[in-house]
Amino acid sequence: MKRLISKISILAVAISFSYSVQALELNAVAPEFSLPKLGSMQSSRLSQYRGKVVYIDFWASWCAPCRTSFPLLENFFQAKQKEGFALVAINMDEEIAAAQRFLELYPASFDILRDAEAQWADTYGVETMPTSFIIDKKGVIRHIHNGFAKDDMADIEKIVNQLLAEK
Amino acid sequence: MSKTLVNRLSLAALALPGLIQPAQAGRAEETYNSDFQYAHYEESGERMKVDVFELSAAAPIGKAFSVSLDLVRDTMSGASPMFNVRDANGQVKQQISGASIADQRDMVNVGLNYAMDSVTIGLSGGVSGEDDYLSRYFGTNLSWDLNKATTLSASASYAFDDVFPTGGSYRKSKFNQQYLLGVTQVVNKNTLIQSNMTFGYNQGFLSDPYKKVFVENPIGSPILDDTRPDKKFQWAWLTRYVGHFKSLKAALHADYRFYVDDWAWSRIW
Amino acid sequence: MKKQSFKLICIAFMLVALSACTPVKPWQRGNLALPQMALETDAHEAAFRIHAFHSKEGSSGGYGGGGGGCGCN
Repeated sequence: MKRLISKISILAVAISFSYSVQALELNAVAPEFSLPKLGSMQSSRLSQYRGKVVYIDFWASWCAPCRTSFPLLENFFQAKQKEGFALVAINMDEEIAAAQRFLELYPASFDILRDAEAQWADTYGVETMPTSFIIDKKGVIRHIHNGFAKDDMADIEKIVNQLLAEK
Repeated sequence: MSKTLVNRLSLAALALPGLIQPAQAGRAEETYNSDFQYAHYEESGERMKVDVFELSAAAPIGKAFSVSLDLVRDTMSGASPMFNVRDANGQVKQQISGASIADQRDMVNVGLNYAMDSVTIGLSGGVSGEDDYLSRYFGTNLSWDLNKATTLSASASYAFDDVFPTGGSYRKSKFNQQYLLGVTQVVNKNTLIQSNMTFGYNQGFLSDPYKKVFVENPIGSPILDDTRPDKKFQWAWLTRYVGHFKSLKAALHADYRFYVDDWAWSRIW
Repeated sequence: MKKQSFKLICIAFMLVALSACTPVKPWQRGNLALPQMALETDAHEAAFRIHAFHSKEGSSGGYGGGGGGCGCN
């Protein structure tokens, strides 16, 4: 009986150590961020992309679904870039070398920014790795995507095409 | 011709709740995996030698399912202990079987996993067969991620084994059940701990048909057949720690397991 | 009596370890995702080792599935 009580109390203590994240809601205005490009001093701001449909992807080199997503997103970005589609991938790695090694294996022509202090991942309410936000031409969040699977690409293409067609 | 039954535990031993899937394809990776291992086990002197060949493959199906297949072949040779006897000096010596045997165990195991948002359910089952032993088993396991820091697991596994020793004319059976309850907790970004409790219940023919017992001051013959009770209850509690050390670029694993059963065996390691 | 004290040690260790719990954000799970941080780093080797232990000890139990590690979905 004593053992059972101690086991239950341990479990209760463990459960109490969960964290809660305030995720951004759909149709909220995407918070304006200013983050440096990976490996440079130059910064990019979200407002630079106003007027385009923006796909913001929070990623890290250790995240398994990111290995699936990067090649697919690169193809999609190259196809849709001229239509006004922008892709911003925000890296969350603790060490920049890990991100650079990942990019050697999975090259990307879209913007890679770095959120070393995790300030913006917190503000955007990132709950899994990766998490992506699709922002319309007016800067409003229209879709939040947790995780990534190969089949998700079709959904993403549909939403982006829909948003590109909007004024 | 002497073998040690206990050394060739049925797949019930490997079909532990939440079977350690050698190849794992999950929603996260979405890759096809296959893996092969060769292992060699040897005891001193003329005793047991085992060669193990294991082949596994796993594949994702759709968005949430994954399936796995494991094939194992053990080939065993060597002599094994039959009974202990006191020699002329009063020392207890182990009597080894004279002959060297060669035996083979083949096993097939299949598993199916279904991953939902925070719960994963698995089903597995298989068959393991040798000249004198047949095991059919299946099990189910569940894993529930409460808050990305705490995961609860529960599983149940069942094995139906038949024993039909060479040189004997009987076929006896046994039934094993094992239940597991566990919790895995992310302590901080460098540390994990897991604690599992298992309850096992074995019924049926639990003796080793190839072993004997030497009795001092016997009533009749001093050498009797190994006869064990037909019920056994086991309880085990395992706690594991995994910690990452940045300066060493390595992880430390420490396991502590406490085991007790109603045959008055207990193990602490 | 010895069994009791070993169990108490186990419980004490867990309480100390759990009290050091800090919430881990999803993007901080990089180290937990390392292959050497998996509970079983090599499934085949673990299955073989555990099988050998159980066979030689005449005991079984304790091992099984669990979560933790990758924050990816």
